[in-house]
Amino acid sequence: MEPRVKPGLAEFSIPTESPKRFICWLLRASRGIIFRMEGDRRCPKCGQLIPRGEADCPHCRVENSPANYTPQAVLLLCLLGLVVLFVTTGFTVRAFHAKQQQLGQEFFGRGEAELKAGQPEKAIVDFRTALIYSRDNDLYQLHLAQALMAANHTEEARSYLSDLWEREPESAEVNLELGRLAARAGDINQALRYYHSAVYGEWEGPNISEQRRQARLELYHFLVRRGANGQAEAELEALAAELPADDAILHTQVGDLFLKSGQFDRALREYLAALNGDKNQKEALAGAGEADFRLGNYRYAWPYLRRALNEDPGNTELAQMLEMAKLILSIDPYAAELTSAERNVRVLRAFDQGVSRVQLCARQRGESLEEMPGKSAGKWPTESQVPPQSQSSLQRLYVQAMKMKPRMKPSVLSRDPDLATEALDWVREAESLTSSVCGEPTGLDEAIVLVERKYGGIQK
Amino acid sequence: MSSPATRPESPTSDQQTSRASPRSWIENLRSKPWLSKIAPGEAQLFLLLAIIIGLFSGLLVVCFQISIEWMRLWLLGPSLDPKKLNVLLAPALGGLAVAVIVMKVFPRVRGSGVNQTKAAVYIYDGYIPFSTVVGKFLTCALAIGSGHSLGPEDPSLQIGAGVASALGRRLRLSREKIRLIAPVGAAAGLAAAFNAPISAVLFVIEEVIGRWNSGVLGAVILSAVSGVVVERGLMGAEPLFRVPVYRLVHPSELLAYALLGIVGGLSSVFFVRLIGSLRPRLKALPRRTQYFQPAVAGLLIGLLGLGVPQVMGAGYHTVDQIINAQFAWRMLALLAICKILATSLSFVSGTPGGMFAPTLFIGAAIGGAVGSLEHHFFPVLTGSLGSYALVGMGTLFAGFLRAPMTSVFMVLELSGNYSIIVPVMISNTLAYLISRHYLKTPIFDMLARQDGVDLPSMEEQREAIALRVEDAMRDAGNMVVDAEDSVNTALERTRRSPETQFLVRYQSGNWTTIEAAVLLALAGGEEGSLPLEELHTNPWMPVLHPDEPLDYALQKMDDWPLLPVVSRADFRRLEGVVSVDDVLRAYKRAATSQDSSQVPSNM
Repeated sequence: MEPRVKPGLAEFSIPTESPKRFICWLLRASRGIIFRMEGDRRCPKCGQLIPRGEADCPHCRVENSPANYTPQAVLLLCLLGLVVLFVTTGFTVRAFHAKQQQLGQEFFGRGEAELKAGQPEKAIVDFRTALIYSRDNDLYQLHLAQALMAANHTEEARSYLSDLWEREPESAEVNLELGRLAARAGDINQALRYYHSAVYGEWEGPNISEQRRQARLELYHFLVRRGANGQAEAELEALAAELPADDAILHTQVGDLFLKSGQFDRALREYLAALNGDKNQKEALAGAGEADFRLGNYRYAWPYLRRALNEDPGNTELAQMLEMAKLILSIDPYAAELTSAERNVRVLRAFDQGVSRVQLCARQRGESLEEMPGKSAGKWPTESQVPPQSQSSLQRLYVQAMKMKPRMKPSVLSRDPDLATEALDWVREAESLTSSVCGEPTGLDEAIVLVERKYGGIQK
Repeated sequence: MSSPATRPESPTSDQQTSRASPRSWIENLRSKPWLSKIAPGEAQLFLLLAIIIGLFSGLLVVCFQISIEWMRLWLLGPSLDPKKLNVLLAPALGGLAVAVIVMKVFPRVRGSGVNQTKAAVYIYDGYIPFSTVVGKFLTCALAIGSGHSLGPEDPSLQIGAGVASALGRRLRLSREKIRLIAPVGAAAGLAAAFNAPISAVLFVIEEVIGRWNSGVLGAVILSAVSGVVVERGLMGAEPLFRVPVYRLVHPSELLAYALLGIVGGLSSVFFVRLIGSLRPRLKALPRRTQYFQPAVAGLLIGLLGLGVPQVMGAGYHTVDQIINAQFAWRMLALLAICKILATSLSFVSGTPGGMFAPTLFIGAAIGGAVGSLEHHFFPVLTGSLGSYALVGMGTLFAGFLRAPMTSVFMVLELSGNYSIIVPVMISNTLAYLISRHYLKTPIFDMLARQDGVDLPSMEEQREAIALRVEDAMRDAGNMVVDAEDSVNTALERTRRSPETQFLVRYQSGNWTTIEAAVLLALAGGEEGSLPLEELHTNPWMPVLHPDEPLDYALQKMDDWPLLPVVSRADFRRLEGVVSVDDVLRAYKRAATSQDSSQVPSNM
């Protein structure tokens, strides 16, 4: 098929219409650009089409070229040329990659500094630029995802992290970030999945155990915040199980967490493990003292609290706890090693304190204990005389106390052990009632309440 | 060409000026007994050359890509947020330098490179001067690196084609082979630039060659693979974009992709019309303005870039960000519009460079924007924004470049995920149909016609009605006699027929002819009662089948006045007859009906 050329293009010819046109042609010919203006034409020798812009036929040019190699030589030259081009390109590519790596590191460093300085938006731009120069760099991508999360671009962060996860599902750092994303979204199941994958995944760098612990700790705090206490406890147990035996600080930290969550016995175990490693560690001493205190083991709590206070004299909370422990130990009527006389003294003291507490409480509530229905001339009414419904609880308690009071003497108590029990029962009831109607007790009242709680009397 | 049996003495001047061609070299090899077993044929040599071209093209494309990056680093700086002065001045100054180089030194490097390669194949017998390769390399590196909104793929295609053409000429391949070798190089260049060999092969076949020629297909594939191997070996095997995993959860989501196809189709129509209307206007300006057009375009792009720097250059980094859902839908819509404007400015001003990368960018932005909006109104949709961006890329490729097969495979190669094929096919098909409805001429054909060159339209060739024998055949009437019939019986049967020749059918399924005059002559004598098969000595006729192409009938016609058209299942069953006149009439009918259905082009 004859190839079509633009209609109207004529064969090349020397214009002779006017001298001006001829001179113009001559000038153009000397610059070799005339043929561009004349268009395509046919070679008179071989008949091939000479493209626009060519001075002569390219096919004949090859034939007549002095550098006219045989095909074998051309192939050989091709192969040589390939080798040279390979080598040249290889060097060029290497230099290019080196430059890219250098730029990537430069922008990555800048991004890290900006992220640490709390400028996540600027860090994002720099991390993105770093990724341009180092596309398959997972570290850059991970840091970009972190910067995106810091700047609250969670969807983009998720996209990068998902991409990383597809490539490295066992990477602990990627799973950790995904866990953080899930935590931010409040998705407990996903968070558990990714955090566990992080904990048991492949970590890089030094101190892998510490990183695993931190990941689990993070998960624990998230679960606590979401109110998933059961799962949180499980994580804390797992965390405790993985602690090295001789690391006092870690055991103390975990003990603190148990203490905060109300698991005093577990907390005590951790504190004791910490003290095994470092017997003077003040946090462990304080923690053990507090754990024992909360468990009601005031005898064991007192030495720990004392030692802790020696290490940290300015700690008022410790001091208060120690004082309370001492007070409890001094007023506990149920203590095993007491003589009966000492017990009676403590019972009387508790009874008197109970009566004072009732009186104080009644005064606070504006109730009169001395003038109540049925009382006449110093005589307290009996229940048959005045129905209990017409008295307030405080009044009823007070009446009971006043009836008991004449008998509350050491000599009577020695003869009548039941009276001590009755008195202590009354004290228990009084303290319980006054706690509920007049607020938490302090001082000796508090000590009495704690004693009763220890022995299962007053419920929290 | 010297005979393989003789050994040339001292070469004469004639022999010096006409050296041995590869064919004679091969013949020389084969004359040696021990070499004849391993000496390659011309076809094998062509394939070997394809690999060499692929390697060369791959290396050059790698250098080209690095040059663009170095230019960008030098002119715009390494940051994603370059300095404002650089953004404003770099494209303008780059455009000015490119214009001077193009006008003064390399006039043939204007344009994207695809049409120029096609022109080389169809007009200039595969000739692409090596200076074009050098010029394209330099000017495109400068233009794209300075921030013009163009892509490196089309120039890579032309660079590969130019290398192939130069090698083919140096090796003195036959005219036919040189014409074919340019697409071989084109495939290598495009495959290396895209890092997608299948798409490159398909594009070259779909848009440059226009047919599935087995002779060149193997070479095209080999060169594309060689180019990609080199590119991946040097630049890494990482895909062009980080694509998120795609999963079709519910078939109703396909409606969302259908909507994307509609939007993509309309956008591509707008894009083509913009280029189609601006380009002739700028070309019509005085020639001296062509020194400044790229510079002015660069300045305007710089102004755009001050607000939206993502539109400068090829934009692959931004496409990657779009696929990873880093922009809101408003920003994506803005990016799409600005990129259309920037690419149009760059291209119509005559700056050398390609349109593949901008097409992908615009498609990704439109896909992301449409996906974001659909997610906003229909939160139940589960497809990620990245998948919409990916499908959008293919959609615009199909609508703008009108390469439907390439667009589907390109998305598959870029994503590596087969499950995205259904949304891609739906969206691309819709975009393609919309583009076809509103634009009769594809972009490449339009550009060629604006340049005054009438290149064959691959789309028209694909859609041309293929005429078959059944379109030309006519009823045989009373022309058939069986070879078992006696002469008298045959004469009786054909007495009323006006034909002068009849077809004789044999039991074996063979056919021949007999003249009426011969029948008459034989009927009167003793042979009248003999069966025709005993008397007749004409050679067997070639037969045709109704589904065969009509040009095949012409090849077989030879001197036969007509040929029988028989069933493939039973050669004795005559479907019709066809003659040269019947064939010509069929072609005329087809041409008449095509002319009446064509609407004048609006480009």
